[in-house]
Amino acid sequence: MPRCWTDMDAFEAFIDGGGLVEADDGMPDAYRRAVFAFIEMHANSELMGALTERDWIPKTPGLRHKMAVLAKTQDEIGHGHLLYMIAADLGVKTRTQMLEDLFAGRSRFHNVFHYRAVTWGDQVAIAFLVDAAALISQQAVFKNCSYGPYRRILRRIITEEGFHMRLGEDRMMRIAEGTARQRSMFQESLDRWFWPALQLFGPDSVPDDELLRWRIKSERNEVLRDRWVQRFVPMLQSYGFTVPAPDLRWDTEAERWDVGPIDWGPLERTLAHGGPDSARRIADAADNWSRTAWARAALSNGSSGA
Amino acid sequence: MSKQEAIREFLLAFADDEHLMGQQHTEWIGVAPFLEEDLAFSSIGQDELGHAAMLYELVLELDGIEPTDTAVDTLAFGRPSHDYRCCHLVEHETKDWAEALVRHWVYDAFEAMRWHLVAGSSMPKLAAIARKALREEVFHTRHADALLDRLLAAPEARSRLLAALDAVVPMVPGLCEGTAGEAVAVAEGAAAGPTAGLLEPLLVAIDQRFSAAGLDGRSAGSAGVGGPSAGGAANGQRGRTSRSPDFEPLMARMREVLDYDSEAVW
Amino acid sequence: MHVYEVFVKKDGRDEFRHVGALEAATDELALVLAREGYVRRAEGDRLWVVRRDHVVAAEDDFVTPNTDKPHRHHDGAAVADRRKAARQSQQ
Repeated sequence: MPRCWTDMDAFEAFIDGGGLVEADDGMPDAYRRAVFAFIEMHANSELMGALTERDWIPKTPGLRHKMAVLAKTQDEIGHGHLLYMIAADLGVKTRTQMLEDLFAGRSRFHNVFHYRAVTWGDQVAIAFLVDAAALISQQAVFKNCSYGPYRRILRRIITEEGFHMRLGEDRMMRIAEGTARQRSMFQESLDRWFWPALQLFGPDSVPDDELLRWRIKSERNEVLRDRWVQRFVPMLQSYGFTVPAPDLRWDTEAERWDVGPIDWGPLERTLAHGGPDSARRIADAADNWSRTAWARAALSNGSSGA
Repeated sequence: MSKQEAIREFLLAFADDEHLMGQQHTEWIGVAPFLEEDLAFSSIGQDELGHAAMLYELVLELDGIEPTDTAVDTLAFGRPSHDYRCCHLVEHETKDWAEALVRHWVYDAFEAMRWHLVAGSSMPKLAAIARKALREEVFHTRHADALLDRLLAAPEARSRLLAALDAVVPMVPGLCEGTAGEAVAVAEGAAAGPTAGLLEPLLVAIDQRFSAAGLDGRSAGSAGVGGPSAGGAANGQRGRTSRSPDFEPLMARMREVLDYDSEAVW
Repeated sequence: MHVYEVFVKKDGRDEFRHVGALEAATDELALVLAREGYVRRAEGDRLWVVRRDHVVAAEDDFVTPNTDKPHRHHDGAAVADRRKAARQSQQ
């Protein structure tokens, strides 16, 4: 049954009491816009991530390997689809408006997908480091998210991301156990992708972050980022790779890895669409979108008359 | 040509067609006209690559080689171009989704007929693969038909699809071209009949599919299908032993990572 | 295009469960596309798609009066009390 709240205090009391907001609830406009923007960015990132991987999929070395990689990227597009559907139900923008804003460079997506995968090693590094960063973020949202439709589809997304993590680690292990050329290719990929992946979590959360107050997110950026660092620094080292952080040190007192100061300049540039591959990636997507407009038009026109 | 060689050629043509068709589908991931279609096209590509892997395994068994994934990949990616037996239709590169969709329909219509040819094969493993594949083919065909039902009824889409059909149809005789020694493979019971025997029913099916929508009298027949000119002699494939100009760039793309380090296992 | 709601069920288990939605031009396309969008890992073996504008939804407060019908929730406490009293009186 759709609910309404008399004011923001009543709504926040509902949220604080563990309530789940549904699409047809009369939620405060500020909450609606915040949850919409968060889901739209997640959706855009899933799709742009798939397009980043797309460059290398036809070149995947191996027949069954290619099937597994296709299934993974298919999942990412599936996640984008699920997310665009629930975002559209919030009534802020239609699915078409969201896609057209994305392809016109008017929308945001994760920093990592503004970079180009220049070798196969990059493809593996993305599947391993970036997917793990995304998974850590998604798990934290799923745990306590106040928006019901988002929380429910995150269950499916997280399950599928689990398959991807195992695929990514399996491929990284083969490279780690592989030839010198493979290992050096992957080390170069780590050098390129380690920092962008770490920056995906964003700078430390501000003290009065409304996403946290409304339980759209439930953990602070710095906590999630640290979780990723503590997991991946020792794992990469155990496979014999070098973590490309010159100030990396083991803090014996805190018993944790410290990667040193983080330069947020690259993140800010990517979010303003000034990343190394932003222009090409967006232009490509826009071009593909316009070249298939006739099919969408044919499918939607018929339905109003028939 | 020995019986075994004849069967091997037949299987290799089937496997190479499935492999390259699946490969062509991979080029559409992320750029289909809408997200739901992206998911569907990707599934079909995965199915075709899966069929190719199973057929390559049968070829390896005939060769007396243990059909590991590495052996499959060596066979799939590691032959000189004249040793491939694919048809030009699956080598054909396109960036036009109308062409990709028409080819998908035509190829899957043909593929279902081809699996039926081997569903009662004297090779039990081939018959088992056919049964699995035919369960999947039902959905490939339903998918293409559901789209075409709708798109052929819209004027602009219809003219794009007919133009695409004009590009695809000349490659159909090549799709149905058999391999050297196929009569021997058929006599051995590997298949119920020759691949060339599928040309006529396929042309009829194409004609029905693309004429049924009331195409301003411009049926597949007038596009050169169904007439004597559609015969296999002039398709330029020379018994599936010659490659089209699209093959080398495609294979280079497929081999790029493999060629980076020939010792590597990925 | 229409929005379709997608429902999936595991054979022999549970009810049909709503899993999401999709856009499609026809019922057949909706079914074909739901197959790849929602059950590509055999998440269920029965599939329904229902056009969203065909769903008959109750209005606000349709169910509310039924939250206050304690007589439909007999908790058995009175019976348990009587049985207990009866047991005690026999001892």
